[in-house]
Amino acid sequence: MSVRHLSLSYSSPYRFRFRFQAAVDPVGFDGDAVDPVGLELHLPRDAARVRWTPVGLEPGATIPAWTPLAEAATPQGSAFLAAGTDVRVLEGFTGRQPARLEVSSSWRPAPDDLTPREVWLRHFAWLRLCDPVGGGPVPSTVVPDRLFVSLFDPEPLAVPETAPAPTEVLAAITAWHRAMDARVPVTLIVTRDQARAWTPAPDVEFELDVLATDAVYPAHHPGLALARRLYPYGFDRLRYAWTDLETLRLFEAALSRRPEAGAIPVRLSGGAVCGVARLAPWSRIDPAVLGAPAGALLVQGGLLTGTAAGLAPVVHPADRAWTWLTADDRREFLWFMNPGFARDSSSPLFASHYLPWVRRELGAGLRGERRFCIACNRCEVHCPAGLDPQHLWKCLRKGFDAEAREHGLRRCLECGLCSYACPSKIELADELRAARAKASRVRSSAPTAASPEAARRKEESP
Amino acid sequence: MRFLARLLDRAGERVKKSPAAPLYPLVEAVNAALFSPDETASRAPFIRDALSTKRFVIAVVIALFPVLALATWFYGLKVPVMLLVAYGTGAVVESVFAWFRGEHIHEGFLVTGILMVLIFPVTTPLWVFVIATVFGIVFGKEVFGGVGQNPVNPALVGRMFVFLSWPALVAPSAYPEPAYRLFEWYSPAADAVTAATPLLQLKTGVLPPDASLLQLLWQVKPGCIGELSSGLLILGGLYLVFVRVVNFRIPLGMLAGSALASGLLGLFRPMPDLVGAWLSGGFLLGMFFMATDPVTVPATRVGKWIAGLLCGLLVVIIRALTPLVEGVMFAVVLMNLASPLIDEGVRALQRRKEADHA
Repeated sequence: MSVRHLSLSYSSPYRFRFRFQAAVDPVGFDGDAVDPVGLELHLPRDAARVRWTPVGLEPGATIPAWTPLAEAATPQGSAFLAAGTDVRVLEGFTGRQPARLEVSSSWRPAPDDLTPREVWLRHFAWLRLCDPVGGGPVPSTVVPDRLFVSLFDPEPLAVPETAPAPTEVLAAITAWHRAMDARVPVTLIVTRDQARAWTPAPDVEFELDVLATDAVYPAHHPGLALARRLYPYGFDRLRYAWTDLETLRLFEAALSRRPEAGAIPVRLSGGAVCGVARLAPWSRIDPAVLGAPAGALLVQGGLLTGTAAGLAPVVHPADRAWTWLTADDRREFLWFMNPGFARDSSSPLFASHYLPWVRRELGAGLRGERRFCIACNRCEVHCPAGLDPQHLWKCLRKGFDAEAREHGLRRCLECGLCSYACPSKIELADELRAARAKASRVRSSAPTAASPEAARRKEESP
Repeated sequence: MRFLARLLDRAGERVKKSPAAPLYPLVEAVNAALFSPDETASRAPFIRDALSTKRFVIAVVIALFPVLALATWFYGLKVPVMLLVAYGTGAVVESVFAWFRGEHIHEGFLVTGILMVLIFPVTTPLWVFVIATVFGIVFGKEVFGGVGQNPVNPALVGRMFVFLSWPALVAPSAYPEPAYRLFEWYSPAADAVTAATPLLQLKTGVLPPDASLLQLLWQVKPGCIGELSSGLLILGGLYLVFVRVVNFRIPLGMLAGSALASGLLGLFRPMPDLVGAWLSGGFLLGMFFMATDPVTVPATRVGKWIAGLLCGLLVVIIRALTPLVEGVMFAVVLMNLASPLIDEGVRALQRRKEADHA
């Protein structure tokens, strides 16, 4: 079932496209696949001017992972394109006709015997073009008005020294600019450690703005611990984190028994149930197809970052998972005195905090009334981007949008951990998301005012 | 249990429609305290942490309960009655404001009420106590928009008001000596035995020769109800720090600040023993339970250190350089008032640093 189609094509000598069409991915994670955007960016300087030679694409052949599919000699050395998983060739590469390949995804741990180049390629997954509004990767055909390139390391990998060097990253971004025939201001989001390598600012042909934040998801971060457990239920933003592979394998096995539809039900606390499934793209969704009971809430995506589905939802190819959720309608007597042996919480006020081996149930219910913020700072502790969500939220409530932006609203990953942690049950993530959407609308409607380059041009020619 | 929940639901509906509509928030509060609401998260994230504000508040009440029980043992039935009066007054005021605003009653007054009892001596007449509670909740909290938006600690606002209005009733020069009075009603006429508080003894330098720090820690002392036992306050405070209801930065900052001020002032004039000053008076109560109210302290971590230091400095300065015996109340309120400024400054510095870095 997990078949992917890979096509390799040239549209012009300067444009080069490596299209990677994937079936809906059940859990938003595949062990070895490389982000298509990352692959597309794996172009040394001037690579687009070099003729690429496809290698070994004989119909019916199976190419092992990390074997170059196309190679080119460049002034900087040889470059290659490769897929992270085994590839089966359906049709060979004939002149202008793209090759049709089949990539089978499988949950495998990372191979230990990677060459430095392969490790580097793997690390290129970090170099993500982030859509600042949606947070997701930018589609390869779109030229945005500003590029946010995130070098966040979602989880410190075992080999930090193989992180891309500044020159490599800049070469990739330059190549992207040439390939897209574009000239876009770039904001590079890096960690503080990485930022040290970026001073002084390098000389590049595009406007570069390096934004340093604290390292995302250190190993002890409560958000990471939560994300690890939540992974199978759809934490889409942590696509490159190595997670509990055993769980993923079980999940995959369960899904393969019911390939097209039918969700795996997961019990939540308070009588709620949820299920996650992947569906074929463009298919209509009926909760009954998923095996959901009547009246269940249908969620497009996972439990942390998904959105409630509309009236007639259709599976978009970009959807990674669909979830259904039943209501948590049990009314518990003296619930706030419950010692909470099986409650999922990051608070030491619950007994489960002291018993890490106990299986904890996630809660879908609000378990408490909506209140005003008591400034407990739990959202700040959970925020993987190092923001202070409660302060941003208070700024936005008072109408101080500019101050919220100054305090890093655009760095928000929209992961939802602040809403998850809030004891006052404030919809922090939702309101921050709305504010970001509003900010981007304002920016796109008044591009001349927002773009510093345009402002400079205006100053030069009064 | 389901029957009771349904009963409360129906009672709430009926009260809402009846002329007793202002009481609806009270019924709703009882319902929400007994039974968890059945609301499911409808927006991402669809799962939520099991922690709620009620649990936060109950942790503080649990931490203070031993102090209250001990006070009942030593000061008699007036202590639980004062607690009931505080809760009753608070509930009435809260439900009036909740009705005006169309909101639910917040559980925050459970903490305010219990603190209210602890910061008054048992000699306080009940009418003064009621005035303090009403003033504190109305002008300390509700006029600013309710829980979470109060700039200063409401309990301290109430106490400050009556302290400045009737100083002799609220802060007498001599307090009743703690003795076994579990089933008695405290009346000043019957209990003529009074004693100076250790703080006053420290200030005037007439500490009895047999008084030691260990005694200050373990023995009961005359003073306000909450100052009875330092040991229980420390235990409760450490519990709150341990379960992370209270941020450790404020108490540590206060200790450091008072040590700093005490050291600096000690260069010029004789100062009372530092640990003795920590263990006597309202320092521990203020440090663990007043100054740490997260709403009224800076939100930034650096700001919390600064606020703690400031509060500790102020306590020692007020105690040493003014005629007042106790300085914790004014120090905490001044620190509360300074905390938006501290936050603003810290955030501006952080922004500048970030801009320099990038």
